[in-house]
Amino acid sequence: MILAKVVGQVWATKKNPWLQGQKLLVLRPLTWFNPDHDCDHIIAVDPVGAEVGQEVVCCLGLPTRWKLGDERYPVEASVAAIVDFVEVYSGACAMPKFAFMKGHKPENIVERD
Amino acid sequence: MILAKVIGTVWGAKQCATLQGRRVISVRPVSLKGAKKGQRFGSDIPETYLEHSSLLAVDPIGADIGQLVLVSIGSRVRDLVTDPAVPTKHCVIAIVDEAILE
Repeated sequence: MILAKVVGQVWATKKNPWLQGQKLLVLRPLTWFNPDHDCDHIIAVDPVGAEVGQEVVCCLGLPTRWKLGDERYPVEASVAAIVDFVEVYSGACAMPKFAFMKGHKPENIVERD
Repeated sequence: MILAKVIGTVWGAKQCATLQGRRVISVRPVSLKGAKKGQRFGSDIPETYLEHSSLLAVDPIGADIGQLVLVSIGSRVRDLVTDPAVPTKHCVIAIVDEAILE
C-alpha cells in the first residue's frame, strides 16, 4: 500500500464490464511504489468515495481484488482509505527525508522525535 | 492502472500461437509533469504530457490510434481479460473519454 493524493477523475464509456459503475481516480503517489515503467500517476478504482484533493491509502496488486470482494476484477489499484493525518517518527526511519517522493509530502503530517 | 495514448499497432508475421488474432498496440504513458489544475486530457492530448518511453499492450477492446486508454498491469489481469497463455503483462481495459485534473 502507498500514500497518494487524488488529483483528478477519469471517465470512460467503452470499458471492461467489471468497471461498470466504478469511479476511477487519478492519483499522484507520495511514496515510492516501484513501478515497472516510466509513470508518475496511478489510476485507481474508488469504492470508498474519496474526493479530489484528499490524500488516500492506495492498495496495489492482488490484495486490491480481495478488497473489492471479487478476484475477477481486472484492476490492480484501488483506494483503501482516506487519510486524516500521517505521523512520522524520525527515529523509526533511518532516512526520514527519503520516506516521501521528492517534492511531495502529505499535507497533514505530524513529525515526532 | 495507467493512462496512455495509443501511438501505433504492432503486427508480427511470425508470432507466438496465443498472440494469433490478437491486437497488439504501442502506447505512451501520460505524464502529469507540468500539468495544472483544470487540465483536461482527451484524445487530443499534446505530446508534452506524454512520457518519452513507450510500451506494448494487448488490446481486447479495440482502441484506435490516437485514443487515450486505460492500461492495467499484471499477469492476473491478463488472465482475466484475455487468456492465461497470452505472453503479456499489459492489457487495455477501457477507452478513456476524458480525464480531468481538479
